[in-house]
Amino acid sequence: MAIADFFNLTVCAEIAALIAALLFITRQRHGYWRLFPLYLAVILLAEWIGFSLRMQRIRNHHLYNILWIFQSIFFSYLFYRFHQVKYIKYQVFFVLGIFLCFYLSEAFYRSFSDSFQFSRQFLSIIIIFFSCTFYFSLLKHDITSTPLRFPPFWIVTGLFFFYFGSAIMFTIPMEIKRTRVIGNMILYDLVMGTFSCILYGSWVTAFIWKNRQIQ
Amino acid sequence: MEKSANTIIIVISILTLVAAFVIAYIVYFIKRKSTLIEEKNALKEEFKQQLRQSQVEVQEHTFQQIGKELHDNVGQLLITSKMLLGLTERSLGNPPDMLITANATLGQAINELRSLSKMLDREWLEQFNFNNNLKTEIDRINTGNAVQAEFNYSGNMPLKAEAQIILFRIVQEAIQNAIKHGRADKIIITAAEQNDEIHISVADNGRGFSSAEKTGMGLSNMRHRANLLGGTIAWDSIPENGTTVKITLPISKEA
Repeated sequence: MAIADFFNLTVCAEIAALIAALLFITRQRHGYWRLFPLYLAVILLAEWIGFSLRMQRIRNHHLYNILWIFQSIFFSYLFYRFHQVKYIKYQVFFVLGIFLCFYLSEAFYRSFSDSFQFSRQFLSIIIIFFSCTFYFSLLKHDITSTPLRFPPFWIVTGLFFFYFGSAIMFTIPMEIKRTRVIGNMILYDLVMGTFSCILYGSWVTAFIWKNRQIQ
Repeated sequence: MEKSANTIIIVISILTLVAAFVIAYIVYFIKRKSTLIEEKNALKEEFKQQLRQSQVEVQEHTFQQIGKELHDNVGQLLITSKMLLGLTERSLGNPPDMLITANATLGQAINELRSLSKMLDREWLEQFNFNNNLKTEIDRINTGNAVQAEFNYSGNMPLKAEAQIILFRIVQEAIQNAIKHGRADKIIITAAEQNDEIHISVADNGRGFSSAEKTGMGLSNMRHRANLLGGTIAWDSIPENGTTVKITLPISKEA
């Protein structure tokens, strides 16, 4: 197992986002923006552990199952902060509660070493739904500047692309996921790597705009 | 298997394009909406500015009318009265002191009235600059001996003639408020240029007013006028400790 194996497309995008977060966000006073470097560090660490387990032919689903809980709480908190409308803010935590119930029921019926596919799909739907409500609130409110300079817009756009595009990957059988496609890359790695680049690219843009706002 | 993988890539590509289209549409829609809002706000501001301008013009016209009326009617009546008193003085040969004092007081009233009507006359105001007009106004106040006013500014007011008239009216209103409502006996007016702005302050030693009393007294009128010049106005006042009116105006480069 070479060191270069640890730096696939997804990991490179995560490292770039972590560096950008450390460079641009650490001066940020608002609590929730300061959470991004921590979140990205946890994701990167989990990605490396998961990758090393996969290389050793050890199942890594339990790791990702735990990670999804962490992600769902973090994203719920983000949407809670980004949404201005009070009832949607409460809805975020209500839906998070439903997700956790769904997750626990899947954990009850499945082995923890299996991937919780339904919970992952449900999480995708939740994120797409709250991304749409975020866009709707942007359309509804009279904002006098372009949304392209609005950091939460980039955060949500990254999430929207990632979960809207990659949702299908969690519905197809494992054999197809492992098919080698363009450049002898595994289909799953190619798709997830591409969407990770979009997700973290959007986040880097958000961090840059946030930094400009601070200045 | 490879065929299925290709189908999935195509489906994902289509989904990504749909997402991109949604985002692009949202950005385009918000941009268009924000442009419309900006245009609407600009129009609103322009309308407000025009409204303020016309308010000021109407007020100036009213002042001019009052000034003319004072000069032509009341002034003429006073002059006739003074002339009659003079004639009476002469016919009596040895007129009583009270008559002489009455004649002198009437003369003083005629002079006061003349300077007051001049102050209200826009055409007259346009012939002079802010400094001269204010000095004349201060001299007029000081002749009464009840109030002591002073103006400390040696430079040339860096504003257009029209702006100087509006500023003069603001200062005039502040002085009137200090005398009438504040019952001040000392008023100090200062002006200073700083960072492309002119700062004018009108400070008095009157009874001041609380924030609850900040309505009326022509304050909104003063604020309107300051806004018309693109500036700001603030009142610094503590009850029984005087008032300072702070006016900040941008210096026009064409001035």
